Amino acid sequence: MRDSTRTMIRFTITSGILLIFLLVCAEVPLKAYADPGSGLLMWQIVAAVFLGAIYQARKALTWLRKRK
Amino acid sequence: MTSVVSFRDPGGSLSLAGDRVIRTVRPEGVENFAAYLRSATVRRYAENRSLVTTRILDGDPAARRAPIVLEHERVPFPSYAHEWPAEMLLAAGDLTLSLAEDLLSEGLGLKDATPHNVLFEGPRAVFVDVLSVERRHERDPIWLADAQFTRNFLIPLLADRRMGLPLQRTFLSRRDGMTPADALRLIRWPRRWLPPYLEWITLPARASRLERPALYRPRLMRDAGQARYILQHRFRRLRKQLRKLSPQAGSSPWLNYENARPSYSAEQHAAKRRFVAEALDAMSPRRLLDVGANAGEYSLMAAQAGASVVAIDSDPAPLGALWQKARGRGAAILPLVVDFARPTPAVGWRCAEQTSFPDRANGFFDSVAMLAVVHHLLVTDQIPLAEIFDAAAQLTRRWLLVEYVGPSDPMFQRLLRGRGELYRWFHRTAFEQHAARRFETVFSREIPGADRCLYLLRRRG
Repeated sequence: MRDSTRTMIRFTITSGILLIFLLVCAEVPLKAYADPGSGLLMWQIVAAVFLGAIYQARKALTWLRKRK
Repeated sequence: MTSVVSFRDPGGSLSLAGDRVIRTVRPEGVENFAAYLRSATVRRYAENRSLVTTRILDGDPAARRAPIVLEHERVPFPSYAHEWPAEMLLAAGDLTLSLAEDLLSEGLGLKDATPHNVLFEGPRAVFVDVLSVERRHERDPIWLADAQFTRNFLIPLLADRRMGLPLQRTFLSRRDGMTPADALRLIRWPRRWLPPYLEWITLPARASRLERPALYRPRLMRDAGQARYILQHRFRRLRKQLRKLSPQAGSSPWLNYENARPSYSAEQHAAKRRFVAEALDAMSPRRLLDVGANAGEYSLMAAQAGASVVAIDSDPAPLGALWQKARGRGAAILPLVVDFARPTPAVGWRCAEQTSFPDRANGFFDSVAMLAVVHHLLVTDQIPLAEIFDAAAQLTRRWLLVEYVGPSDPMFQRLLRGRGELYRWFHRTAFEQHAARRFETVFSREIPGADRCLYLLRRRG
C-alpha cells in the first residue's frame, strides 16, 4: 500500500472518531423545527468524501501501474 | 367526479376521474418528463410491468409544450405503506433503489424515495410516480432523496423488526416516514452506539444541530466517473442494508395456525376445503376479498380459481408469508394488514390523499370470503351480527362465503373469557336469520363433528 493511501485512511479514521466524539458530547437540540434530512445528508457527504478519495487513489494506482 | 389525489409535486398533479387515472404535467415538469420518455431504462421497467404504463392524451413533450395530459393504467386496488407487511415495504424499497441505480447511466435519477411512489398489483410492486424521474448533473455525487429513503424504508423496517413498532403505527401517524430524532427516543444506551442505529439514527439525529443552509448547495466532483462510483457504491450499500432487514419467521401465534389447524381434524379440514372448492366453482369469482385470511390457504385456492384476491388480516406476520408465497407462485393475491373491525381510515390532506379501506373496498368485489372470522368479530370485537352482515353486503356485489362457528366450539369458548351469558342467544338459527336479511342461501354444509357450518350466500337485490 502506498504511503499516501495509508495516510489518507489514517486521516479518515481519525477524523471519523473525532466527529463521533463531538457528536456524542453534543446534546440533541431543542428546536421548534429541525430539518429531518440534514443529519443524514451530512452523513452522506462524509461517505461521499471518503469514497471519492478511494476512487482517486484507485485511479492513481492504475495510472502508476500503467507507467511501469 | 374528479378528485385530485397527488398535488405536492410542482411538476404536476394526479387525479382520479371515475375509473381513470389522469396526470397533468405542468411547465416545471416538462423537461424531466421528456427525458423520462426517452429513457431506455423506463421502457425496460414498463415492459417488465415494474413501472406504470402511460399514454399521452394531450400535449407535445417533444416540443416541451405544457400542460401535458397523461393517462396511467389503473392499478386495480391501491394500497398504502400503512397496510403492507414488512416484506412488501422491503420490495417497494428494493424497486426504488433498482430504478434509481439503473437510471444513473442515462444521467437520470429519482428526486424522491417514498413508498407513496409504489403500488402493488397482486404481489408485484409497481413504480407509479413518473414525475419522480429527473435529470441529474453527471458530476453530482449526492442523492438528495437518500435521507428520505432512510426515513421511509430503513428506519421503519428497523423499528418494526427490532424496536417492536409496527409499520402500521409508523406510517399512519407520519406522512414522510420516521426521522432519526423520532427514532432516537425509542432506543436506549448501548444500542444507540451500535450499528446500524449509530449510522441511521444516533449520528444523524445529533448532527442535525449542525444544519446550515449551505449544506444543500450542489457539490460537484472533478469527473463524472467519480460521482457515478460514489452513487453506485451508495445504492449498493443501501440495498445491502435494506436486505439485512428481511423479516425472519415471526412469532405470531397465527403464523403456524394453518399447519397446526387446532380447530379442525384432518377430515374436517378436508371437508372444509371441498366445500370451498365447490363454492369457488359456483361463484367463478373475478375479485375476491378474503377477510381474516391468515396465511392465505383459501386466498390461494381462490387465486387458482382465477380470482384477483385482496387478503386482509390484522396480523402482519402470516400476511408477509402469504406475500412471499404469492410472489413465488405468481398468484394474484394482494395481502394487506387491515383489521376488519377497525379498518384503515382516510388520511392525509383533507383526509383525501389516502382513502379509507371501506371507501376502496365497498362494491369493488364480486365475492367476499369470511371463513372462521365472524365469531372473532362478534365476541372479541363485539360487533353485532346484523352489522357484520350489513358490512359484508356493502363489500360484495354478489357472493358471500361464510363460516358459522357456534358457542360450543372450543375456539368460541376460548374467546368468550367468561362472557357466555352475553351470547346465549347465538346459535345457527339466529345466524341464518341475520344472514337472510341481506343474503339468500345457495347451499350450505355442516363440518362433521364440529359446531361449524359453511354457507355460500348470494346477496339480495
